[in-house]
Amino acid sequence: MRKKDYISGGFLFIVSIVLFIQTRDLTAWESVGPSEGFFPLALSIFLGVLSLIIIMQAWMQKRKPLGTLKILGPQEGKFILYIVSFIGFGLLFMKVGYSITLAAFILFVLRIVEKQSWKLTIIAAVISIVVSHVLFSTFLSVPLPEGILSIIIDKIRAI
Amino acid sequence: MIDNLLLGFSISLSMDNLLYCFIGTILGTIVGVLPGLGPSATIALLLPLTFKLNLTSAVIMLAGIYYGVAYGGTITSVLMNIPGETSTVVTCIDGYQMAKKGRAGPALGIAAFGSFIGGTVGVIGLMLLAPPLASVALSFGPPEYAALMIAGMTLVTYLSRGSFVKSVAMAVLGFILACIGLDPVKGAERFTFGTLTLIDGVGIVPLVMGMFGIAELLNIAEGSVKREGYIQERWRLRKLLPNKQDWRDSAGPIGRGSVVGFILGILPGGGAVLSSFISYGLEKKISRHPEKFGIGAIEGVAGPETANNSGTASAFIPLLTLGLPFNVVTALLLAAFIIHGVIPGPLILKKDPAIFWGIVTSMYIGNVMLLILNLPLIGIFINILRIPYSVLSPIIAVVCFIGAFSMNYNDMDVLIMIVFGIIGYLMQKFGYEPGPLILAFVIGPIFEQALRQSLMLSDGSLSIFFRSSICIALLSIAFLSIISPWLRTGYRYIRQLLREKGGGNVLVNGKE
Repeated sequence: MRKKDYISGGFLFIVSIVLFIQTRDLTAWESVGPSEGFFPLALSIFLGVLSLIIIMQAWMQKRKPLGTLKILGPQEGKFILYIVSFIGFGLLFMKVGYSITLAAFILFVLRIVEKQSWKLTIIAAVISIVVSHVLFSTFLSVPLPEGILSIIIDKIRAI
Repeated sequence: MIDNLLLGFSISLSMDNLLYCFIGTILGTIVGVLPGLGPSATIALLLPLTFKLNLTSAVIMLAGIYYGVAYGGTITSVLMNIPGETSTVVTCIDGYQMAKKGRAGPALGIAAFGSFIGGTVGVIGLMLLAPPLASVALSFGPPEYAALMIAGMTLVTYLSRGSFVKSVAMAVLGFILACIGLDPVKGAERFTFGTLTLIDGVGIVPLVMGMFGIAELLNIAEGSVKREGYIQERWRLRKLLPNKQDWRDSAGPIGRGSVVGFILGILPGGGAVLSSFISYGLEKKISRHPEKFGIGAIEGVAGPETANNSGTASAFIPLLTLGLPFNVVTALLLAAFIIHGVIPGPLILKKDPAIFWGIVTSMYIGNVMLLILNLPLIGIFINILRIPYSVLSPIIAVVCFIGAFSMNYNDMDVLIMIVFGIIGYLMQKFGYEPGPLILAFVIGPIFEQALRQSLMLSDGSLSIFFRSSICIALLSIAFLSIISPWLRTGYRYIRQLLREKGGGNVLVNGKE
């Protein structure tokens, strides 16, 4: 764990420095009392101090083993594919449309990542789309993005 | 009092009002289950539909949504580690661990019973103590709020099992995240790094769903989360409900949670949220086995769940007796009153007793309805856990995506949630826990505003925090809370020293 503490403490220290620099443009104190920069400045300094304490604590436990830096579990590939699919969904669903992106996401995760059957994948995709539309779009009036689907529907209507 | 109660029940037990109460509680439960959409959004959506109803029926339905949400929010917290509501965030800590150990039923059961008891205690308190407590809440100025937040923050260390320094660092990070966006007093940009995306700040929903939901999905994906024998077993109602030992363990937390929730619910801001965190911290602090917390202690579910429901009931006190809404939901309920031409306040008890008592008694009925609704549903909800993770994971991800998006209809919220999911995952791997960060994020803006206003009032002098008795009492609690671990150690040391010197009975290996 010590190795991890060195790294996390170091990272938090860098974060505190960046935040401290960011507070330069803010006024910390005015004649009437604390201003908009007071809290961020105090917090960035405090975070810096705490990160140094974390590093120091790790250094003081010299007798304990340094520990490993290994983070990922046994299924590293799956983990990365999940992150890719999440980011893909987040980037695409506004432009491509909610229903199409959702179908692609379920297809990718269930069929390719989790290696489930086509039958289950299609059932899960259809149920997810229908339930989310009924619950959020119809019942709770959440405007789910239609994306390119709306363009296609408009063209069909025009024809 | 009895005449008033009878009057209230005669109104709330009419077929129309029973139906509206039922609709409200059902809607509240559904909204609570769905992450992202909170009671305020739902009440805002349904407010126009209540124009044609009479005021009592309208408020009965809207109030049903409000307290129904606290019941529903627990379900996803326990089963999926996704808090349906901010007030059920803390339930994730032990509720989800119980579910992983095959004890989702008792967790949901004790949450339902605790919610019912907390809600009922809250309504009884509302009935008996409304006028005097409302005036106490009014005496809370900025210094008192700052002191209350400090007292709340001292519980930070009890929200996690790891290092004290790391917990405080996470709390500081939570405060920093709460600073992102426009400064609440002057409107200056802070930590936005020049981007428009961050100008509105970070939303609680993407943060919480990322830190809990997405982070857990990543843990499942990498293969480090295992379920312990609760897929193969057939569920029986007796196994689903809390057993005698669970009740014994939960009785105290439920009692204390009712009181904590009731008191904090009256105060402006996130009373129900803060009360659930404080209840958890309190239970861990006074427990004989604090090491059980974080790995599936039923007390960690019973206390907070009772507190948040008790808090929703007491939030009606300032609304009904002073006409002051202390949170967004009660502000919307005030709007419903105004639309119908009634201004709630000190005179409502004299001028419109039927409305006041009708609403209060409907809350008893609503809580009974929610208990009856929720208990049989536990078996149905638990069947979700029979679905293998490989199928459940993408469905949970979809719930998270849509929940984050539905807050502001902004795709950036979804990306922010994913980023926080990765951060939350890394935090777990490096021995940091999200609890203190979330608590600090929730109370950060209230604390900063109260602190700045207080210091402005006193020209920067800290003496303002020692001028009122409420401040002194709250700061004393905070101080005692910080030093209590050392006091306890000192007390044990002195007792042992006295034993050794006095009776000559020396402790050897724990035996005299």
